[in-house]
Amino acid sequence: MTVPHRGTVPPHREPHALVAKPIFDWFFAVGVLAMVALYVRSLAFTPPDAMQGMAQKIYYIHIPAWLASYTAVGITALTSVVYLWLHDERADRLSEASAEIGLVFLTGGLSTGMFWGRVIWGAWWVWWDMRLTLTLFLWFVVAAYLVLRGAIEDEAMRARYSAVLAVLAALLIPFIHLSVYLFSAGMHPMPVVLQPGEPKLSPQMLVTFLFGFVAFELFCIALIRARYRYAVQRDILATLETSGDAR
Amino acid sequence: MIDTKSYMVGAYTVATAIYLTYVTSLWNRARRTSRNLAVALEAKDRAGAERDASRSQG
Amino acid sequence: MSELRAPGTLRAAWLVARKDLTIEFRTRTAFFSALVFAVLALCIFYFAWDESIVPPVALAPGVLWVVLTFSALLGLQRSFGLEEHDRGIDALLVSPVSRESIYLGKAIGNLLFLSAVQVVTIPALAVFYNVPMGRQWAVVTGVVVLAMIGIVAVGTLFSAMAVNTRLAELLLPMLSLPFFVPVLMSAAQISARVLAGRPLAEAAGYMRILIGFDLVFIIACTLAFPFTLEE
Repeated sequence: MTVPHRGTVPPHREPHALVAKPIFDWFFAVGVLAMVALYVRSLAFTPPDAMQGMAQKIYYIHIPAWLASYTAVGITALTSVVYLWLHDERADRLSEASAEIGLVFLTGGLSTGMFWGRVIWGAWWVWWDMRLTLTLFLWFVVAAYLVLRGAIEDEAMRARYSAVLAVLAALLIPFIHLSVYLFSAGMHPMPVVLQPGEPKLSPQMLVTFLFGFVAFELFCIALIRARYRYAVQRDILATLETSGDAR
Repeated sequence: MIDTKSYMVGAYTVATAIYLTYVTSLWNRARRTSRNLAVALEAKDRAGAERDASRSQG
Repeated sequence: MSELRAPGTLRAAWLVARKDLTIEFRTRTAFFSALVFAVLALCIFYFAWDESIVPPVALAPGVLWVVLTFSALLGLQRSFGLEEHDRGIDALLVSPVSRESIYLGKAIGNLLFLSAVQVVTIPALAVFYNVPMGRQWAVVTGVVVLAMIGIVAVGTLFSAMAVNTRLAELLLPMLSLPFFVPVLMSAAQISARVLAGRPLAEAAGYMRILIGFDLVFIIACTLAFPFTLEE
C-alpha cells in the first residue's frame, strides 16, 4: 500500500501569481480592525461589573480566545483526517497553519485566564478548574505536534506523522476531560474571593461579549489564512531550491 | 479591596503582546521567504531564457 | 501436502516479541540499566522529602507512578532503536508478517520488559517506603498492569515515529507524556485510595477511564501503525 503525497505546487506553472498574493491583505486588516474595535469597546464603552470591577473586562478577551483556539485546533484535527484520506498536500498545509495559530490563542487564553483567576480565586493557578487544566494539556499536545513537524525533513513523512498525531490527540481529549473532571470533583475548591463563574451580563456587556466572539474568530481565520499563504510560498521556494540543486 | 484595574491592564497587555509578537514573527518570516522566492524565480527565468536561446541556436 | 502459511496475527506478534526479548536478554544491559535507574530513582525521591513532615507511606503511591513513567520512557526509547542497526525493520517488513503484528509484537515485548522491571521495583518501593503488605497489593498490581498496557500501547507507536526523526530522545517524552496523563492520573488516584484502605468502588470512575483508554488506544494505535512505516 503506497501512500501517495499529492503535491499541489507545480513550480513550472505561473507561481508568480501566488508570489504576488500578499500574506497580509484586506481580510487581515479587517481582522485586526475588529480586534482593535473590541478593545476600544470593552475598555472605554462597557461599564465594569458591579461586583468584580474592572477585572470582569478580562472576560471579553479570555473566553473568545479560548473559542478561537478550539476552532483552530479543530481545523487541524479535521484537515489531518482529510490528509490521511486524500493525501492532499493542501490539507497538510492547513493543518500546520491552524496548529500554529491554535497555539497562539491557547497561550493567550491561558495567560488571560491566569489573570482572571488571580482576581476571582486569589490564585494564579488552580487545578480544579476544568477549562484551565484541559487548556493546559491541549497546549502541550499542540506544542508536541509543532515540535514533531519541526523534527522531520521529508514532507510526506512529516504530513503523515503529524496527521496521525492529530487524530490520536483528538481521541485523547475526551479522556483528559474525564480524568480532570473526576480529579477536580474530588478536590476542595479554594475559597472564592469574588463571585465566580459566568457573570450576569447587562445588555451592553452582552453586546461586547458577542462582538468579542466575532472579532476573535475573524482574527483567527485571518491569521490562519496568512500563515497558510506563507506556507505555500515557503513550499514553492523549497521545491525550486531542490529542483535547482538536482540540475 | 483587590486592585482589579491593574490585573485587567496586565491581562490586556500580556494578551496583546502575545498576538503582536506572533504577527511580527510571521511578517518577518513571510518577508524573508517572498524575497528569496522572487530571487529564485528570477534565477530560474534567466536560466530558462538561456536554455531557450542556446536551443534555438543549435 | 503441508504448505507454508503466514502466521496469524497473534502468533506473528508473539514471534516478533520473542525476537526482541531474546535480543534483550542475551545481553541484559538494557534491562539492568532500566532496573538500576528505577531503584535509584526510588532512593532519590525518598531523600527529596523530610520524612518527619511527610511520612514515606503517604509518598509511596505518587513515587510509584513517577518512577514507572520514567522507566517506561527509558524502555520505550530502545524498542525501535533495536531495529536501527542493520535496518532490521526492512527484514520485518519483507517477511509475511502483517504490519499490525509488528506493532503488537513490539508492544508485547515492551510490556514484558517493563513488567520485568516493575517486578523488582515495586517490592523495592514497598520495602524502602515502609508500605504495609496486604491484600490491597493485589489490586495495585492489577492497576499497574492496566496502566502499563495503556502506556506501552501509545509509547510503542510514538517510539516507532520518534526513531525516524532528528530529535528522537526529546520527542518521545514530548509526544507520549500528554497521552500518559489520563492513565497516570487514574492509576495514581486508584492506588492512592486503595493503599490508604479505601474500597475500590470509590475509584470506579477512574477504573472505567483506565480500561476505556486501554481498549481505545490499543485499537487506534494498531490501526495507526502502518502509517508510520516508510513505503
